[in-house]
Amino acid sequence: MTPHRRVVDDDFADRLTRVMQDRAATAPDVDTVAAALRARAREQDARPASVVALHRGGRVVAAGLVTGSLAVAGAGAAAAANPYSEVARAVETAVQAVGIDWSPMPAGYTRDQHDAFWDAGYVGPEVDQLMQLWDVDALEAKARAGQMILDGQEPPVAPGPLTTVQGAAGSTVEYTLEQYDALWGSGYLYEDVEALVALWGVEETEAKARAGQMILDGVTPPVAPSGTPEGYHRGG
Amino acid sequence: MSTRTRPAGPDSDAVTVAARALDDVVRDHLPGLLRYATVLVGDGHTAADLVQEVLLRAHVRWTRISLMDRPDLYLRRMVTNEHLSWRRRWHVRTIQPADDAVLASHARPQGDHAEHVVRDDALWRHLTALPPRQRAVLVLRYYEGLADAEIATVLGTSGATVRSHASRALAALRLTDLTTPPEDR
Repeated sequence: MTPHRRVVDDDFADRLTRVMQDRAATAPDVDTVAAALRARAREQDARPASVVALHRGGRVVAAGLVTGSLAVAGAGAAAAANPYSEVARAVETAVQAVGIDWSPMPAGYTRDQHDAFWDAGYVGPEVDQLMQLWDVDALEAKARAGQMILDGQEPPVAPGPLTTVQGAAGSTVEYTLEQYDALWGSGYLYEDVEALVALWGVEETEAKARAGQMILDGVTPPVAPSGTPEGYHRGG
Repeated sequence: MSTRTRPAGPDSDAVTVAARALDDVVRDHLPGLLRYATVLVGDGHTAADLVQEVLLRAHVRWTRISLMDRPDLYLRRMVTNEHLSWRRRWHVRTIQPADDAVLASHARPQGDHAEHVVRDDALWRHLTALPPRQRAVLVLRYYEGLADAEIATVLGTSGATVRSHASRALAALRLTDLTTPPEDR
């Protein structure tokens, strides 16, 4: 490689790195993904074995029936192994579209209930509270709460914070879904959060919680958002 | 057949161990994996899905993974393979390049701002059009800063194949990058 070529390559490499770093700045919020991950891990632990998930209401529906032109037997098994995955969702949609009554979801827990429950902002600890309150297992707790939301009712336990951290002042700081939506929905980007962290001398989560709460209270945070609110959607 | 589930409360030793493992994974690896996946797949939603799927599998055998020489590379391998696998299986997870406004909001202020935005936008779109493995090589090399031997580990291939992918990808990018002076293409 000639010296001239090396210089050109370095310049091009710098541009590539810069473009990728800019894209990386749009990565989803770590706290939110971590909360969702913990919730799904709890679900994964709570769900019945996959073979049970293939039996719904007395209808024995084995993954082997989902074959033919769809050729999703393997995917069906994968969906049953983790009924909450995007793979499971795709398989469920595909087979139901051709009239096959099959779902990888556990008995008594529908996809709509699952989506309603988690979209309401529940993170995981509330499942335990609902289980104790109703004296049911985790699946039934989520199914009941999800159905209540679908019916326009409020479950007896409200969604908790996304995460709780120890604040710089020693107090407990809760980072809530409302604060999350307020912050990112106002066009704040990660570099703005980093500026707030530096300005306030606090950890990232506390900075996000504090700024989000300021926005909810109608107070302007000391760092203006670099982005625009357009196109905001939770988790992305 | 009973559909009752076993207790999922914090009293279960297995659950406690798994939760600790998940805490370790989240603290040490989640931020970096999310950024890597976002660059790799091009959008945050898919990246979040993909990383969750991987870490749900990884945390239950975290003790073993954590004893590896480079658990970070192993997790990137899992994310990369999952991404390539999803593409093969469903062919629906297409990359949606951000519009100019979004990219403009992320562009650095130095130099001619508008020119940078246009050039970077074009380069990003060319990058997303590369074959998946070529793109993965470039992301691992120019975003993650990995050496070719490390990239080979992540992709489960040889260093020569990595260099071949990189060479082809860079050649394709230069060819399509309108801002590269003709004499340097």
